[in-house]
Amino acid sequence: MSLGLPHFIRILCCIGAGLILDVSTKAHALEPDDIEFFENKIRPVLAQDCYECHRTGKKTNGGLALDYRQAILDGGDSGALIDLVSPEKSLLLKAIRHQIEDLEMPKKGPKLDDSVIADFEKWIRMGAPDPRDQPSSDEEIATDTEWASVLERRKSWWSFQLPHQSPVPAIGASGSELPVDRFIDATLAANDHIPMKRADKRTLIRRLSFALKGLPPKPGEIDAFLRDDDPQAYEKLVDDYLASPRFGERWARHWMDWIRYADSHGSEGDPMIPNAWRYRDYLIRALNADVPYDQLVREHLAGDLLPDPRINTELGLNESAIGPAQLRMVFHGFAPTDALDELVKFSDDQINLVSKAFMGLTVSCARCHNHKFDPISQTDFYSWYGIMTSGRPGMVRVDVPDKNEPDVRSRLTNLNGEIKEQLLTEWIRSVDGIADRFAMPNEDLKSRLENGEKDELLWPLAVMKNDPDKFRESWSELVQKIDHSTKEPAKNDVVARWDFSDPVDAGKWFHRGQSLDAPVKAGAIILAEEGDHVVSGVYPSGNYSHLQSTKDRGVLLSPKIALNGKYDLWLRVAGDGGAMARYSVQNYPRDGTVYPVERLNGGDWRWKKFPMAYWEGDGIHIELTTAADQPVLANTGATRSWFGLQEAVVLKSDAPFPPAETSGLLGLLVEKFEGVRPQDTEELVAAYRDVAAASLRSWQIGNSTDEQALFLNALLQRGLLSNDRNELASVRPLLAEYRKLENDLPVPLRAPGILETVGSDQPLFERGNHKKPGGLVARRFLDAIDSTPYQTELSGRLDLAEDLVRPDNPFASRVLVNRVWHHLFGRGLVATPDNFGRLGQKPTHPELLDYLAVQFVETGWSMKELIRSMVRSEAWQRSSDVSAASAAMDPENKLLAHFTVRRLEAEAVRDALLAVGGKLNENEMYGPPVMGDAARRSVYVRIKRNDLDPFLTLFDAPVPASAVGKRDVTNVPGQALAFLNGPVVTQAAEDLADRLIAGAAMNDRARVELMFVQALGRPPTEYESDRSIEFMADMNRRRAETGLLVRRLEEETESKQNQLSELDRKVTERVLDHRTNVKEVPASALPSPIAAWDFSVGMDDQIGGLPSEMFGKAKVKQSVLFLDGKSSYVGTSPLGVTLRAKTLEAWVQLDSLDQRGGGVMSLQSLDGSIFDAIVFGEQQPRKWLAGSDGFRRTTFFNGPDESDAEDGLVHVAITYSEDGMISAYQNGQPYGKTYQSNGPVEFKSGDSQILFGNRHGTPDESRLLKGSIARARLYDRALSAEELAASFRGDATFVSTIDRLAAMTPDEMAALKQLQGELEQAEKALKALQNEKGLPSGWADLAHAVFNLKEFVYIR
Amino acid sequence: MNLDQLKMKFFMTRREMLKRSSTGFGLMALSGLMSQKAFGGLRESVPHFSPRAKNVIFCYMSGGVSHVDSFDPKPMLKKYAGKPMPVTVERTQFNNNGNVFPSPFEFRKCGQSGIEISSMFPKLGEWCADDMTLIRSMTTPVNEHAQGNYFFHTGFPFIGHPSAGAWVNYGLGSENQDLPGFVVLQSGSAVPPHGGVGLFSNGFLPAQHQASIIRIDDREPVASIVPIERDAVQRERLSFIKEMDGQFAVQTAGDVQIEAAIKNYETAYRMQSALPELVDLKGESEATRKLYGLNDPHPQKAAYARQCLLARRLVERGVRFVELSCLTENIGAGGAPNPWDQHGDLEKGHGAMANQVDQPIAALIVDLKQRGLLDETIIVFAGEFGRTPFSQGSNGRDHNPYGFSVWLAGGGFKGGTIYGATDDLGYHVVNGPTTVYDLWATVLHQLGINHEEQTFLYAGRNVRLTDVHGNVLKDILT
Repeated sequence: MSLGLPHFIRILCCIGAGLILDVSTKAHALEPDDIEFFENKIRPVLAQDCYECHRTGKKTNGGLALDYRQAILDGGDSGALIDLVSPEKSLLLKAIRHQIEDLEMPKKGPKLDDSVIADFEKWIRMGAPDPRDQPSSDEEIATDTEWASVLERRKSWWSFQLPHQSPVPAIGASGSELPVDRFIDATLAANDHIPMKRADKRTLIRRLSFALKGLPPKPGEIDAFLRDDDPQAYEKLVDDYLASPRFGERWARHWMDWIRYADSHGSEGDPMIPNAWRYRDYLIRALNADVPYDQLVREHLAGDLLPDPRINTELGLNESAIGPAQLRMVFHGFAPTDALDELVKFSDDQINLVSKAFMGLTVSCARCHNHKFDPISQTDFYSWYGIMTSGRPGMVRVDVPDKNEPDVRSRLTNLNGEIKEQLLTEWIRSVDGIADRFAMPNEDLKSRLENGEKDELLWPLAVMKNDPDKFRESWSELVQKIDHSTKEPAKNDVVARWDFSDPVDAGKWFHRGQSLDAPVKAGAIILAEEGDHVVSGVYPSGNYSHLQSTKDRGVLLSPKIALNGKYDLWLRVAGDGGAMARYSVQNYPRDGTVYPVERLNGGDWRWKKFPMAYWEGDGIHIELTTAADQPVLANTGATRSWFGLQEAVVLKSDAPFPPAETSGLLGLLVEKFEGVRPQDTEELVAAYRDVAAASLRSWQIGNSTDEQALFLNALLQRGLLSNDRNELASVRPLLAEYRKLENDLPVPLRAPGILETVGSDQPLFERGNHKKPGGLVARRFLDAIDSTPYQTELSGRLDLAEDLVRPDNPFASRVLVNRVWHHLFGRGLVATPDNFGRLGQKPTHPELLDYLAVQFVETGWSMKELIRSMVRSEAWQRSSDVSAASAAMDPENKLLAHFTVRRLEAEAVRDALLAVGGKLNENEMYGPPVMGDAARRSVYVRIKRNDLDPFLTLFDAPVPASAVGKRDVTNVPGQALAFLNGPVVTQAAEDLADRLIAGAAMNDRARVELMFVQALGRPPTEYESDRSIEFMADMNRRRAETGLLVRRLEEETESKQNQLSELDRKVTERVLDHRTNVKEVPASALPSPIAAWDFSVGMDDQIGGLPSEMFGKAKVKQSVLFLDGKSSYVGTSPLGVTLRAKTLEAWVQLDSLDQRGGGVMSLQSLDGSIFDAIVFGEQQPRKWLAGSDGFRRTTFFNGPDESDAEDGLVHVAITYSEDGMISAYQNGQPYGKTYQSNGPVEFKSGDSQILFGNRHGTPDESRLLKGSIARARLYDRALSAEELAASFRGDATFVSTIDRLAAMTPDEMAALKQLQGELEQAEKALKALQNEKGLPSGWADLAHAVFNLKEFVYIR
Repeated sequence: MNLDQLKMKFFMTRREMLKRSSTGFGLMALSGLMSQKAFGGLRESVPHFSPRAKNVIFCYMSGGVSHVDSFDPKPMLKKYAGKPMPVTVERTQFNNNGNVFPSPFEFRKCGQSGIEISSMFPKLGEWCADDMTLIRSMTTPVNEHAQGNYFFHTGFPFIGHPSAGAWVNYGLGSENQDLPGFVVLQSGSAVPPHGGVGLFSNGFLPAQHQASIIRIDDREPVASIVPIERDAVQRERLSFIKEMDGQFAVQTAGDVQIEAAIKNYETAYRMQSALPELVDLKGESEATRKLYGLNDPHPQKAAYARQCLLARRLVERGVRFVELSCLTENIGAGGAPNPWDQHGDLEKGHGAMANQVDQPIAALIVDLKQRGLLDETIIVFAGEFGRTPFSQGSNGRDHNPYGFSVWLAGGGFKGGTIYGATDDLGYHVVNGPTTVYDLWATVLHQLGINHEEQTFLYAGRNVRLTDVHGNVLKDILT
């Protein structure tokens, strides 16, 4: 051993510190080993983790610099940094060991790895050898912090090493041979922990049922398991549960957490992601079928591109193609003005998700700069950004064509040709007959010719016939227009142009669908799928989505177009059924203000202009889609739609274009006349015929022009060429065959996905600022694993998919194994399932994790096998009892000495409530999302980002924003409230009670037992059983008590009301006595009614004694007839007179002026169909109305809004005179305008009656009055205004509330106040009792209580 | 009691059971086990430095208030009235840009400070100008409602991050065990702004920090808060549940979560009466009701006044963060989630919206001041962006994120102060550009929280309300 300087220092240390500085500053002769140690182990750490804050001249936080030897020796504000005498006491070590509060270094970063801390300790013991004499220069720092070296060092982090197969330890304390247990037992033993024994069978089956199926075990299952003495009983149960379809539903939900599944995009408008649910169903099927995990990961990135996709023959589905739907579960803002920013955001979302979900890495953190802690560079982010942005959001087809479909399709094409032949023959044969058709037009053509000035094809004929002068003028205009029409845009206005008659141009676009492969030549026909027409049209050249069927889907996408100036887009398009044409800016898939969409309907051709000057500087592509195929706007219910595209042109803004639309059809006709104006209709008709004949000849030899095709189509659409299958005998059978075949074609199934076009590298954005693009970054995998650029013309998704599961990717299997472990054990072996980086936690059992990861791959990536190996372990089956040692030494149960008690997840809570309540529709799987009140499993409940299900959210169902490997488990009072008072639980309690009572007859004790078994998986203890029965009795007693209370309060209110009535009566009498004394109005002056009611006197008419009957809760109290508006009214016996003219008169008070449509007093036929009535607030609020059957005799009076009737009685009368005039009066004054009706209607003696409180007929709430009627009268004539004024004024027996109050003595007033107060209180108490929702029975009470037990939601 | 004793099995006698429940098993076992109070998630850590304020009332003007019509007078708009904008016009969301559109409202100097406020806000001008700290240089990177709302609430433009109220609650904990620490009030027809309830989310913070939405006019202001039965019956039910739970708690050896769940029933029970008492405004004096405009014939104004008055009652009870919700007047594209969004009919729409909130907010400030609460309460008045100085169509304004006004009051903010400025047209900021991060950094600072220190480890990053930005605006603090 040489006696080098460090050793010398060490010796000196023992002598005295005074010399140290002196010597150590002379660092000339460091040993190469020391230098190597410093350079390899210390300098990179100092540079990469410390210099940022501790550097000479730049940032010297705490007065400390670490960039050269002397500075380290000097220390900082907190004193000396290293203690060479007692290295253990060095401040540096304490700081990096996080032993000093507020001095944990590196600040805000993760703690340095233990091995690094050990290096520092060693280094200080070595005497802190350090060759750096001078403060480091910027260049040196740059070298030291250079990414390549940072990357290398960071790559040494545990998770970047390949899983290592360690030998399986010997059998341990649990006695289990299973490798899982042997690893766990070994760690327990090493920590002197003794594992708990196995849990009892009841606990186990409940635990297993929730873990694998997400549902409680059924009593029958429990019994069978308890009875099964087979030593393999548990293993059999595991197999059963793994085979249950419920398994897929349970575990798909876990998977949905990992990929932030959502049914909508969020943000303003929160549009649904059409067909998102197909992805959820795909997961359920895949997990039930135990599709290998690596296959699913490939599918998640590029299932649509796999050379050998996974076909579900039973459902006819290309399962693989559904996987990439997860890339579409992104947020989309609403009409963002910065489209590139939006693209960065949603691509970032995709990158974030993919890297977290499948690698446990946070690649997104490297968007603005290299990752702060992990070996992930900024270029890594942009390499993936290039992959993500190369694809376009779209709708992909996920069903597989039937094996016969190619034959069917080829037959469809042949049929089209055969029918075309037949039509050609027929049309050529009949073309001369066109003149005859004009001469003897059918109805349709006749009307077109008569009103034909607007008909694009026929207007010359119509105008010539009607107005020859105008014809001359119009024809000249037409000729001029055609001569001057700009068919071609000016050359230097054209930015880009695609002509879809040209296969080369068309080939530059991307397409999906059955008939967009190549453009068709002019003259294509498309057969009509229904009706009498043979064809739906003759088409010009172009690309069509529906050559064989309008069920076929079509997606047509242009290449990317850079808007380097202010441009317009012109599309010559036609379409129907809600197909769409638009341009997408930076792949933004939604519509909204500055993102216009043209919906195509009606099938006519048009030039659609999209001004795009606004988007100057951005990138776009053009997108045409059938109705169900737009990525966000898709109408998922649309089965038929189509579009055709002839031409797409990008022009400089406002360049003159295109030719006027109207010249299109008549160009050929005008040509025919060679500048000479036609003189008469005959000449014109002949010209039509000649153009038709010429067009047909071209057609025959396959040489049609677009104009000819359009001309023929126009003739066809106007019945000038035969298109009726009944007239075309030879076509009929062919058409029938076409329709049969077409009808049998499937409607394509779609799922959200990514449409591959052509890949392109994207620039790195400096500091993440998308307005500062830097150099292009090749598309590739992560630097830390493989930085070779992808050699592909496509996006690179497929390459990335393969890389995610490649054998030297250490994350592929580890991450998934850990996720599964987390869901089964409640805590991952790595406690941060979404982060295996430096800020994540290290594995508690690294050898076990690696063992499982290797096994997982070796067993073919089978998730079921993996789960089986975990749940069969002793570790998983342990009792949840906690030993004192464990509680003290391992409170988090990292060592797994026992099972960890856990709360059920939100979905399991809800599903268990539904299942135990007996309402869960377990066997209905799959399909579009349902609302939370449906009796379906929670995995099917809609996840609308802006409107998440409140119950599930309360129990921590995740917000779909990012990968969630580990949910929050919160304990908030809202959960207790939902269980105590919320409808989900009370409903389940009632359901469970009903189910028990309706079930087999048994005694209460047996029923209690059954309830416990159903809800908790165990029978009650004797004590619990006793208490439950006692509790039900108590609650029933409470219910009876409530009934008594209600009755008592009802009696009390009635008694108070009676006392009030009595007081009223007394005062009223006194007032009347006084009036009689002063004789205010002679009764003889008043008109005589034929019937009159004063409800303070009695219910029967007080003139003729006509009897009446009260219905519902109608009652007389306080001298008036009370009507509750819900069921109450009064009807009389049939009247004994026939009435035509009449007057209805009533004194009425209303409970509310806002009520609508209540009848005060009606005269109606006994069957209720004909009536005249005083009605309040029916057609208009707050207005009186003369109601009649179907408003036959009703017009608005236009009187003022009623305002008094809430405060006291008002007098209302309506008069019906013999001449049909109807007038209304309120408080003796005319109310609004008198009007003429077609009445009066006659009410026959013996067939009519009077109603109070009901408009007419069968009572319902819309007809019933809420208020009170004091008095009413019926007259057999229309009273005059004077008579009604007198009747109002002179009603000597009418005493208003105001009159009464005025007449009361102080004592009476006090009594009134007190009675009213007491009444109000009693009524309030009564109302509160009546409003109690409560539960209907003791059994429901008990069920509710059992659900509220913690044992129901906590699994042990 | 040691753990072995706790591990008694099914053999407890009834007497023992009763004894346990009568001593309040949950409470007893919980002492020492509960590290978090019911709602506040009370953190033991003290504030980073001495706080100046305790509470925040966030008057959120969803839809975007036009600054050039309210707090930022621009005489130049009159000069250019009806003429094309003399400067480049940035992309707008509706791309229906008209010419320069001078404000139809008149500005006047208010208070001692002489801050100019328009006739839209007469009461704020008259009563509160000298309490207001007006920031005329606010900016946001977002030009659409939902993302703008998220950005303003959480510092990020998408759902998933904690709302400012959640951060405050996380940082300071609750002062009231029976009430949530972060409350969003809604009355009448008010609904959450575009983006939905996620705006009030706890994000990745523990769930007890999420807002409780109190719909003050509803019979059930908070979901499931109304008991299904009268008190005596419910107590019997609760006592049965608690007794039955006792055994499970023993079997699970006093598991902390189960104890907490048991404890929740007690808190829940108390909340059932605390909430109705809270929202019952009957006890407020006639003078107070009049001050706020509680009886105003305009129903939306009266409804907003109820929120303002309730906000005071909430801060009196120690609720940390209260957000108020505007109601739509259905004018000019201002729908229920974005009532201030007058793309058309700006004069009428903004007039109605201002009338709705002016007096109630002014009254709230006056009332807080009278009660000595304004010093410890920060009022924040802001919408997600401003509006363009040129018209959209003939009489509306589009969104303007490049410069707009927000204001604060109370809680140690300098009253009667103006900070920053937009250009002569009120289009872009020219002086003291301010971000939403700055706003929250400053508010947190006043609450004693260092916005750079208050972080939460999420997805591999120490995430904070202010992302990696934000400066405390020291100039506007006393």
